[in-house]
Amino acid sequence: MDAPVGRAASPRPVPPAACVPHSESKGTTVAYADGCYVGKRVKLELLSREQVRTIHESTLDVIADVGVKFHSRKALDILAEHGAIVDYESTVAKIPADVVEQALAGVPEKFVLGARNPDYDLPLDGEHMYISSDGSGLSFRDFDGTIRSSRKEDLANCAKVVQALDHVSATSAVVSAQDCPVETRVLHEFDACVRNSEKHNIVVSIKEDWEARSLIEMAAALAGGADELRRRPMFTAIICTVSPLHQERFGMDLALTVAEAGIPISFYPMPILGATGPVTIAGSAVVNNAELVSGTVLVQLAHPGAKVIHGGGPTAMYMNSGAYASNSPEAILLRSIQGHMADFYKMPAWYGAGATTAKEPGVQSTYENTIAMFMAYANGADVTFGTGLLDGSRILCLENMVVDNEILGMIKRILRGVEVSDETLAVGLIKKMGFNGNYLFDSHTRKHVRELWQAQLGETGTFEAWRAAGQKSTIDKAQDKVREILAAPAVEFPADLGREFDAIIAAAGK
Amino acid sequence: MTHAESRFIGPRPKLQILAPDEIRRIHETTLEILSEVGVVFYSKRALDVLAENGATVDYKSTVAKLPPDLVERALKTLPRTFTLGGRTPDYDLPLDGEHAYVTSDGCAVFVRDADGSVRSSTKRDVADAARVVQALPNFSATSALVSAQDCPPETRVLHEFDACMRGSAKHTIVVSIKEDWEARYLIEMARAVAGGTAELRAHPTFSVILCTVSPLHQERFGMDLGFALAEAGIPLMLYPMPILGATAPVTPAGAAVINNTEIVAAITALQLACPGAKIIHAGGPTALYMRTGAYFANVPEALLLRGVQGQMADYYGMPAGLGWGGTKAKQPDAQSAYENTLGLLLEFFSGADLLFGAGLLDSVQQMSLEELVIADETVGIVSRLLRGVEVDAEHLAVDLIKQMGFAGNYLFEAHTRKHVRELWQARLGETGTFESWRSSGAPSTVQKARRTIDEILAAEPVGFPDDLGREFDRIIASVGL
Repeated sequence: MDAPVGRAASPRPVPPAACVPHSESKGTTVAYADGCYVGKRVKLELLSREQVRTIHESTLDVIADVGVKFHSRKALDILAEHGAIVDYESTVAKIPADVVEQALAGVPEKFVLGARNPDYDLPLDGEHMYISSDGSGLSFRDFDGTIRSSRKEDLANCAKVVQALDHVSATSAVVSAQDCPVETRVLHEFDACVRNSEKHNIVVSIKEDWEARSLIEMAAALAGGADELRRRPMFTAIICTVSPLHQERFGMDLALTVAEAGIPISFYPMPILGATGPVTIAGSAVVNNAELVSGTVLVQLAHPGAKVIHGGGPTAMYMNSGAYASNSPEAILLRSIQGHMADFYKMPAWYGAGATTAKEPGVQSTYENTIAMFMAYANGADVTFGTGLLDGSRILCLENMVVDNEILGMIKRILRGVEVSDETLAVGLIKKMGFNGNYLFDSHTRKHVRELWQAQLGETGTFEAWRAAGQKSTIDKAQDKVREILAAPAVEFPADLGREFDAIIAAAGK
Repeated sequence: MTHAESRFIGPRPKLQILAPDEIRRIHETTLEILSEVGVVFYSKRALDVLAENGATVDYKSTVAKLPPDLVERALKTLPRTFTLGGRTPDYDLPLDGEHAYVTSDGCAVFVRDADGSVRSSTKRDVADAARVVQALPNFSATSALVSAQDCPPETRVLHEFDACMRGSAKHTIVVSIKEDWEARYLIEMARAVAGGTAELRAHPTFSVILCTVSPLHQERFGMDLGFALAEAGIPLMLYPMPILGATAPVTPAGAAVINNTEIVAAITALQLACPGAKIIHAGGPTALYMRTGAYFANVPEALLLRGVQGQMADYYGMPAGLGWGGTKAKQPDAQSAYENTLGLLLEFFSGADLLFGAGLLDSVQQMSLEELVIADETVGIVSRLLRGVEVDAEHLAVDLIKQMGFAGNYLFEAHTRKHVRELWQARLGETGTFESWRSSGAPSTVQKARRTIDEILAAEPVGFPDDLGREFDRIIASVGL
C-alpha cells in the first residue's frame, strides 16, 4: 500500500513551547516526544553502586537457590534447555546465575513505542519522560461525585483526554469495558483507545493467548503490517507476576506470544511489603527483582533481543486496616529502587505512580501523585503508569489527569535541571546591570524568557480576579478543561480500519 | 524522645542539580562579581569593617568591592553547625545536616477562615497558628504567620513574639524587624526565656530573617540589625529574593550568581565584624510571570534555584533554611498541594536543614491553618523518603525470602512483627475503603484538616510560666518609655 493504514491526516502536534530546550531543537521536524525530552536528568542518589550490586546478587541467589514458579510447561522446557533445574510438578525452575546474566546481557537498551501517528512515537532511551493513563479500574466518577460501573465509552473519553494533554503520552485500558462481552472486552478496550487517540496504548488485562493474537492482529492493521508492528509496536503489554516468586498463571505463555510479535512487555511485579514480601524495603526489592528478572530471562532465551521493560508496582499495606498503601513512603522507595535496578540492567524503567488512595480529586490525590511522580522520575523512570484513577486504582476520574498533566510538566522542567554556561551565567550582563534592577528590558531576558515554564492550570492572577471569575478550585478548572476536550471532535480514524477492527472483534467473539 | 530526635533523618540521598565543577563555577563567578562590581551595603559600620580588612569602599555610593582572599577568610569562620533553641530544651534543633525541620511562614496580613471568608489578621491569629504548630509533630518552629494588626505598630513585633512563645514551646523565626531597638527588646524577651545572656547565646530562642535586595544590595538597615543580633548570638537567615527576569537574569544560573553574591557579601561583613556569627543560608528566589507581571514562587526555575542554594550551602559548609510555600493558590486545594509538595521534595533532597514555611496562600498574603495540617502530613511522608533505604543483611532478609519461598504469608513472620512499627502511618489521608469514607460523611482533606485544627484549639495550650508572662508584659510596656 502507498500510505500505511492508520496514518490519519491530523495536524502535527506542537510540544508545549516551554518544554523544547532552545539548544536542542532537531532540524525542521518537531515530534511530540521532543516535548518529553529531558536529556541527562537530575537524579536522586538513592543507592550506591554497591547497594545496587548487592540487590542484584541477592536476586541471583534467590533465583538460583529457591527458584521461581513459572506455571507454564512451555516456559519450563525453554529454561531446562538452557541449564535451569526444573521441577515439572511444582513448576519451579532454579536458574543458575550465569544463565541469568547472559540472558540479561541481550536485553535491548533502547527502543521505540509506536503510535498510529508516527509523530507520537515514544523513544525509550532514558532521556525522555512519559506518563500513560493508569489501569485497570472498575468504576467511573462523574464531576458531581456520583460513582458508577465503568463502560467502553469511559475508555473512549479517557483516550480523548490523553490525546489532548501535552504531558500524557499513552492511552491504556484505564477501566474495564464492563458493558462489553467478557470474551471480547480487552479488544473493545483497545478499540476504544486507538479510535480516540493517536498515541501509544498500554494493554493490561490480557489473560488468554487468543486475546493476545487478536490484539496483535488489530495492532498490525494499525501499524501497517507485521514487520512495521515489530519495528514500531502499537501497544505494550503489562504482564503481572504474583508475589512471592510466581509468574502469573498464563503469564509466561502470553509473554512468549507477545514477544514473538515484537510487542514490548512490561513485567509488573506487585509485592506487598509485609504480606507477600518482607516488610523491609530492600527485601521486597529482591522479591520484586527476582520475579522481573526471571520473566525477562525466559523471554530473552526464547526470543533473544525481545523488548522487555523493567516494570512493577510494589506497594505496602496499612497494617491496621489491611488496605493497600500504594503511596506510602515505603512503597515509593521500593519503586524508586526499581529505577536504579533498571539502570543497572540497562533496560527502560517503567513503574507505578498515581495510585492514590484518595476517594475524590483534591488535596490528597494531588500530594500523593506529586510525590509518587517526582520520586519515580528522579529515580530514572522512563514511563510511569499512570494517571487517572482514584481509590487505589479503582475509580476513573478524568479531571485528575488534567492536574497530573500540569504537575508532570513542572517535574519535567525541574529534572531538566540548570544549565551552567557563559550564556546562562550572564556575567557580562550582571556587570553591566550592576545595582540596577531592570533586567526585564534587556535583550538577554527577551532572548531567554520563552524558555520559562508557563502554568496551564494553576491560578496566576490576583485574588480579586479569581473571585470575580467565580472562585473556581483547581478541580473546577480541570473539569472545565475535560468538558472542553470531550466537546471537541475526536481525532480522525480511517473508516476501513474501523471495519477491520469490527471484523476482528466479531471473529474473536465466536 | 526529644523533638529533634523525631526529626532525625541521617545522611540523606541527594539530588545532584549542579555537578561539583558547576557549583565551583557559581562560587568563582560570585567572587568575580564581588571584586569587580561589589555590593551596596548602606551601613557605615559594615563599610568600616570591610575597608579595615582590605575591601575597596566608596562611602558615597556605599558600594564595597570585596577581594577574593577577604571573602575566603570570612567564609572560614562560618560555624558549620549550631543549635536553634526551643523555649524548652526538648525542642532544641541541632542544625547539622541530619535533621529535617519545617516552620510556619510569615508574614501575611489576611486570614482565610474555615468558611472561605477573608479578613484582616490579629494577634489572636498569630497565637492560634502557634498553637497549631505546637501540636503538629512534624513542625519544628513557629513564626508570626500574620501581622498582629490590632497591636500598636511600635510593639507589634514584640506582641507577635509574645503570641508565638505563649502558644508554643518551639523555636520561633522572626521576620518583620527593621529597627535596631526592636531587636534589642526581642533579645531582652528571649533572654528571659533562655535564662540569661550566655544561655541565650548557647540556645537562641529565635532566629531572624534578613532580606537582601536584588540585584546586589543589602537591605537598608539589614547589616546594622545583623550586627546587633549576631553579637547576642541570634542566628541570621540571610534571605535574598531575586526575581528571574526582573532583578536578576532570567536564566537560573545567572540568578543563582546574584543570589549567592548577595549572601556571600553579607556573610563576609558579618563574619569580619563578628567571627563565628551563626548564619543560615536562606532565600526565596521567584520568577516573573511575564503575562501578568506577577511573582511566582513555585515555577520550576525558582524551585531549581532553591535546590541550587541547598547545594551552595553544602559547599560552604553551612546550614540551609530555604524558603518554602508561597503558593499562588487562592484556597487550600490541588494547586497549593502540588506547588508546596514539589518545593518540599526539591528543597529537602537538595540538603535543606529547615524549610520556611507553611501556612500561607495567594503569594504569602493569606493565612490558612488547614495548610499547616496538610503540610504536616506531606512532611511526614517526605521525612521517611529522606531516611532512604537500608541495604544490609537484616533488611535484605534473603534467608527469610528463601524460607518463605512461594508462600505469601510474610504477615505472621517474626521479622515482619519486628519491623512493622517502622512503617509510616497516614494521619490525614484517606486510607480505608470507599464505603467507610462515604459513611463517615465523605470528608474532603481540607475538612479533615479543619477538624484537626478545631481539636487543637479546643485543647489546653502548652504550659507557659506565669513569671515569664509577667516579664514579657513588662518588657512590652517599657517600649517607648
